[in-house]
Amino acid sequence: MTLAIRPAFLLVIALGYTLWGGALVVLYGVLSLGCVFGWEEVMLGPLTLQRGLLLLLWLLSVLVIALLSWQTCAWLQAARAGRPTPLARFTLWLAAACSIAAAGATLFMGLPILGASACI
Amino acid sequence: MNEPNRPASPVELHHELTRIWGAHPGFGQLAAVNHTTLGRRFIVTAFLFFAVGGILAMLVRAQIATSHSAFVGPEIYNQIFTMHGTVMMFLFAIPMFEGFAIYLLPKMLGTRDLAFPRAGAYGYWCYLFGGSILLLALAMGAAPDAGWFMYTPLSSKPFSPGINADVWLIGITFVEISALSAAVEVLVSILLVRAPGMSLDRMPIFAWYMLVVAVMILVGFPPLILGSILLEVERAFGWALFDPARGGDSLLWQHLFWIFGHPEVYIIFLPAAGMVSTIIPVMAGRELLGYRWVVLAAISVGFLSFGLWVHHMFAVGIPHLALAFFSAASMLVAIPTGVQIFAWLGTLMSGRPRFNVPMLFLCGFFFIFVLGGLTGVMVAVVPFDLQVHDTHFVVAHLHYVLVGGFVFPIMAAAYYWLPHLTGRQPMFQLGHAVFWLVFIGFNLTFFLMHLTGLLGMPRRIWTYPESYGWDWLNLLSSIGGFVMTIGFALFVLDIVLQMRFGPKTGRNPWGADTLEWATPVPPTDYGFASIPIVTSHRQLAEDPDLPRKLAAGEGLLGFARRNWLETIAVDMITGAPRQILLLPGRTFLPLGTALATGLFFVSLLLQVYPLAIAGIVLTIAVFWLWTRHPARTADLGPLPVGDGTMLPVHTESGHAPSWWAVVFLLLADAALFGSLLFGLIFLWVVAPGWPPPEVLFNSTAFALIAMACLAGAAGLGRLALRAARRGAVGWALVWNRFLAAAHAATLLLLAAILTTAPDPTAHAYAGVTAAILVYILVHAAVGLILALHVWQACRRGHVSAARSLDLMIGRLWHDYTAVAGVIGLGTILGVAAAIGQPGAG
Repeated sequence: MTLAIRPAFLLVIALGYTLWGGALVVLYGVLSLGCVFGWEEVMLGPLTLQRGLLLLLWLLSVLVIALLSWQTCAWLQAARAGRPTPLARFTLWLAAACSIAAAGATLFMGLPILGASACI
Repeated sequence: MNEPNRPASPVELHHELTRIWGAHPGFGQLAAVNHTTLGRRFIVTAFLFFAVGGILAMLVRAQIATSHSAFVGPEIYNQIFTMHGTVMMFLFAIPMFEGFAIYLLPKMLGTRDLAFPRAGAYGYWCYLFGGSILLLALAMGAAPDAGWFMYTPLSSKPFSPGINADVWLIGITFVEISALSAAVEVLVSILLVRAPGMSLDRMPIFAWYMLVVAVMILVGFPPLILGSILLEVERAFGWALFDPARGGDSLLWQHLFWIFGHPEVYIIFLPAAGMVSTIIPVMAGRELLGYRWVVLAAISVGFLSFGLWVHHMFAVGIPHLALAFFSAASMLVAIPTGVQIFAWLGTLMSGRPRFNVPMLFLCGFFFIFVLGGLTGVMVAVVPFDLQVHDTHFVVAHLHYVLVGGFVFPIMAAAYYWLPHLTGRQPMFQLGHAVFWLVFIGFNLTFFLMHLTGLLGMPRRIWTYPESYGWDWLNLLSSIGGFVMTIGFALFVLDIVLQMRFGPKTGRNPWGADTLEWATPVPPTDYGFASIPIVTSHRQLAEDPDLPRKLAAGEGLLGFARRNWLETIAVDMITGAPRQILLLPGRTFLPLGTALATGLFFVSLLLQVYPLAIAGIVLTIAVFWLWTRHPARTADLGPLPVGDGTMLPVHTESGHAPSWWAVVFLLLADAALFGSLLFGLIFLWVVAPGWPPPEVLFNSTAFALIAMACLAGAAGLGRLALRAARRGAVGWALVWNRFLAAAHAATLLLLAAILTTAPDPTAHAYAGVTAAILVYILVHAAVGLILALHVWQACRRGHVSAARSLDLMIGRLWHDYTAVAGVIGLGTILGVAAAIGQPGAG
């Protein structure tokens, strides 16, 4: 498969980190809302509603960015199988690397959900 | 159309291009818009502000050198440290890298100028006038005095009743126009205005850094601009926004400030890192190691820096989990920073470094910046931060980061590019003495501040008792500060000697491979006599004869056609040539527009509001005159560029640079709007004193009709554009009239809602709601002005099937206004409905 590198591809390069930023804002926002509306006091099995929701959103964010990383890596692999131009190789690599870095950043950023106190 | 006759000789070409691109002497210099002149002006002006900031720092050090100092009192001391931070951050650091970027980028990109020369000139005048307001206030003893981040409630009217805080809010907002205009100009230029063949993978590394920085400015600055506007409105008109007694929250200011403030640190560092990445390979005599990794690192730092802002607020009582998110992001940003540092070290290790003056300053940068980075990781850890918060430890950390990460690279850059700026070589090796004085002085000053901080000395105190045992450390710090100042004074002397007596340098004295060294030194107003075709990212290394060929007109556009200022716009990714960009020449319009804008800001400061309205009207009127430049009454069609290729001019092309400029301006606009909506939700959730006593209930019908009008205007804009593209200009006029009517109706509806809305001075809910309404109203008003402009353009024959750029730009604006209007009004209605229900809020 060959992928035409158009100007819109710049958005793909930025997409992973944009999703990371979105995840940060959503997690911070939901945490703030949860603390105000008392979600930390509502139990859902072993978890509070607050923590359960944050875990879900965090894992969902990681999953979405990981899927993006998988797709950009697939594009890069497909290009490498052909004879990509240096430009195609560079832009595809950059998109894949940015996506993977964003996925790693999202995973690391959310780790405190597993332990830190939510509303204190 | 045939290719124009080429001049008989390179000298004749030089004279013709100089006549077209140059500014007239004397007062004519005020009309200069070319990037070389503007870049120099930014750099020199920023350095003058640096000197002012440095003198203020010396006054600070003189005051706290010993306990019980009677040098200045607390009131003056507050002004001095506030102005020191403000001048260094807003009037030195940002304009300095803007100056370097404006001066260097077109040359590095192999083009003749940036995309919007007049916007660059307008930005410079706004910077100069805004900065002058601040300095004038300092001279009159009315300078800002609430700290450079202006925390409320200290900066609110009850605690800062004088004009001091207004000077900061209004002066800095004025200056920020220049940052935003430079960001748009730099971003569009890097993406579109490059030498043909310069694909993304062949771009100079400095351009990658500046690309990231420009986007960061567009997203990072609007929250501060919004915060400044809201705080000024609260101070001037009594609106409730940050006052906890009326449903506001001073933490909202902190959020808005630091959403700007932390990326700002990287906005300052990344251009310097771009310079380091450019200079090190030259000094090492090899290519930059890991070019694409460095690009990845720059992008990563750019994004991650937006996830750190709360680490400035660790001590305000935010829940542990939220602190942990931002603590994690603060640690993460060390990774891409480390990647860059290892890439630079690897480049040096695998090359054969020359230890000259630029290299000395780069070594100083490594030492100091890495130390600053390490203390940065320390304060990113919440428990440690709580111990050293607001102490001199933090002052030491931020100076290690900012001076190490910006001033030392800038000094390296100055010594590296001075031969380009002046056309002369340095004399007497004074640079070595400059380095050692600055390096030793800096470390003596600031390393000891870590210790005073750990001993508990708070920042910003004007005096302290002898019994605390801080005297000797502070005295040594102050001595170090004066040693550093002597170093900078020697730097000035070195430059003056070089400019006046230095022997002339040849082209490319360092043996660099970036294209700025392919221009004459000092550079001409037009930069390149002809535009290179790039085939490698080391073009100059692979073709050392390139400067001669370009000067002889052997590249593209190696002629002077119809007195036009021409350069080439390319495809963003591949660098394939797409358009001929016709640039405006020398003009007083930017100066006139900045004066009109200045009238607006000064009138606000003096609270003469009728005059402020006159300033706005005048600014719009002068901006209107700007549109005369590209206007034509006939299609030019494709024109030759010199190698057999025919290209359309930008006004007859699909997506011209000005269209992209509006796209990026709207990105900044959206960041501001998003911050405003965040403000409403934040106050609703966090602030005390909610729910408000009164909500906006009686305007639902008006709001829904206004949404319909805005959506209709967007649709009509599309119809008008479609008609113009078919060549049916008459129909475009008809649709445009309806469009203008839709915006006018929106204005009336919003004005009606505002008159019946709750009193914005009573509660923060009403204040933010009114701010959202005013935001939409302003956008509808601009939409109306754009519709009037299109009407005029159609009537005068400036619009055709090929020349529909004005309508394309209009469509962008109307679309954005519709989306923002629907979201804004929808949010207002939604929040009102939620608050209105029992138990909500």
